[in-house]
Amino acid sequence: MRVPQPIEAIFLRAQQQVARYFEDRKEDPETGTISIAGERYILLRAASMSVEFFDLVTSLYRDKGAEVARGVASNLLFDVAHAIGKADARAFQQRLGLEDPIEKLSAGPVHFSYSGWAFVDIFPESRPSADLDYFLIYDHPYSFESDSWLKRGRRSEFPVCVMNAGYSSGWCEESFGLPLVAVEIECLASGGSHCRFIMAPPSCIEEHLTRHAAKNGGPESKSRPARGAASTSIPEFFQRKRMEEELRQSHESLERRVAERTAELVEANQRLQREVVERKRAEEVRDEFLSVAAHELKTPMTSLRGFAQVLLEQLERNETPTAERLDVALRAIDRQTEKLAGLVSQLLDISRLDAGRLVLEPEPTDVAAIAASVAQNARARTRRHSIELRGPTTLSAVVDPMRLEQVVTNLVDNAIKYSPDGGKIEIELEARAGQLRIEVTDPGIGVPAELRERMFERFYQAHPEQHFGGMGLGLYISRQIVELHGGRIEAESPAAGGTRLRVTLPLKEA
Amino acid sequence: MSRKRILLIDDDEGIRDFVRIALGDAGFDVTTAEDGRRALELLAKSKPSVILLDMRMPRMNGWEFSAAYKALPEPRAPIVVVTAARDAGAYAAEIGADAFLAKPFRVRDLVALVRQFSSGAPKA
Repeated sequence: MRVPQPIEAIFLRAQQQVARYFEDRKEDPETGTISIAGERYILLRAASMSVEFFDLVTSLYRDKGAEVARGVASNLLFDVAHAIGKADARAFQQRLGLEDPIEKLSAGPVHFSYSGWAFVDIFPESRPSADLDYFLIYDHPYSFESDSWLKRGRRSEFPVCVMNAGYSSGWCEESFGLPLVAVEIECLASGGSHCRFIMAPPSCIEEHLTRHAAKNGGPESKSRPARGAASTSIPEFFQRKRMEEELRQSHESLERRVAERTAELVEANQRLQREVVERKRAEEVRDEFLSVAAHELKTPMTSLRGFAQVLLEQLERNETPTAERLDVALRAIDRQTEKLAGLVSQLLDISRLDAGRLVLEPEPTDVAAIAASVAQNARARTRRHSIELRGPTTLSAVVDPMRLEQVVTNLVDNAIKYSPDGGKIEIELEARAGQLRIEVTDPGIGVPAELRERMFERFYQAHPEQHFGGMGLGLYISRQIVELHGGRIEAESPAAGGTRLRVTLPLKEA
Repeated sequence: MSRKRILLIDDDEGIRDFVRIALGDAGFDVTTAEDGRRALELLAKSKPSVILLDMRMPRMNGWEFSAAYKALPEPRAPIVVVTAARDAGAYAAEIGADAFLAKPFRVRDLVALVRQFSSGAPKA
């Protein structure tokens, strides 16, 4: 053992104490015991904990490669040695009643030497202090670890004195109550001239290694440790614990992410399923609408074609149609063409509404005149219904006259259509409190309360099982027109039966 | 020779008008009804050789009419379904009709069908 001058005396005293301790040695193969000063010891064959241990682990970890095997073996040996060093220090210092850190430390190298690990040579630039300045640089000549490689004629690619580093740092850590780590910066087994170590607190070790490398290896190897320690790695006591913790955290975060993603996927899937159902329903509705629209368009076409063919066949037979027949046919053709034009207009309105291109052209309008005209036209279309108009004879408002006429016509047409048994249809007009109110009341089949909102939906048809005709667009279009005017449309069931539709518009007087 | 009677049941006035003229020109006597209910009233008075039946009608539609008609005591006239619906053939099969004609049809086809089905039927 060689130590710096200032602490030599303490170390010499320690040497005497330790020597006395080790003199009291009993070996009893009968009971399989070795005792030193009453404390049981075990003898280990040095190579089994070094070169042979590395070989064993390397073969176990063949599939993972030499680098991983080396890491596993080094970590295990370092952890074991560090733990032994700490435990030995604590036990020994207690037994000898040591208090001063340097005194505590001093027993270490002696104990180390006596138990056969290595000789210890601490360099003068070492500063063993109980703070972050703690710095030891030392050699372990005759290290049992490098010896075991050299005796086999083996050369290592890396420093091998892992237990030496672990034990000494463990002992010192316990002595100073300060986390310490030791790195072998040069190793006989990997081509160095010594087995040389630096010991420092973990947070400072990197800096010491760099400084040492710069001083010894020249500028080009500033960031590299000295020769023989090319692949030095900084050991960490129970690195596996930290890694397990990190692994656990990463697992947990992975599980959390998986759970989140799964929830997102489930939600996306549900959304998709809802969309599929909705789209399917929309397709069914559209399909049904197309079928209804085709039916509605074909009906007037049938009459048009029928009358044309009836007249043509008469001409083919060289007959002259009577004036009466021509009158009937041409009136029918005129009426059916008007009906067709109405259906086509509705289809165009729907397409405009869908594209947001139905634009109003409001102008000062006599709404009473519109209502009178609608009533007049309606009377021409039905013999079974009487159409009654109530309200002022003129009522001025700023509206789109064509569109408002379309709405009132639609309301009256519906009233006629859904009153198949005839009766009195009332159109009522009123301007009050800044609002224009138009009501159309019929004595017909009525609308159940639960359908009063639905009847304004597009494609909605009351009583589809009883064919009343139409494409289910009229009230939908009317509502859109009314709402574009800033008004509203609603249905109610009068006590006397039938249906009342009410349009309310803000009254913008001309 | 008395003219054979044809009953046309259709809610569309235009169709009723031209079919009356077309079949009248072809030598038939045409009665029309705007729905199934009215048709049943007419059937109580006179028996047609052929019934031309629209399916979608208010008050009493083609399905309801054919069910009610089949419940009447014999004799029964052949029924020709005349509809603008896409499923004209399927409707005809549903009610066990003898033939169907899809709107819009040719007057010539209508006359031919009516002739075919009225020839074996009892005279009015």
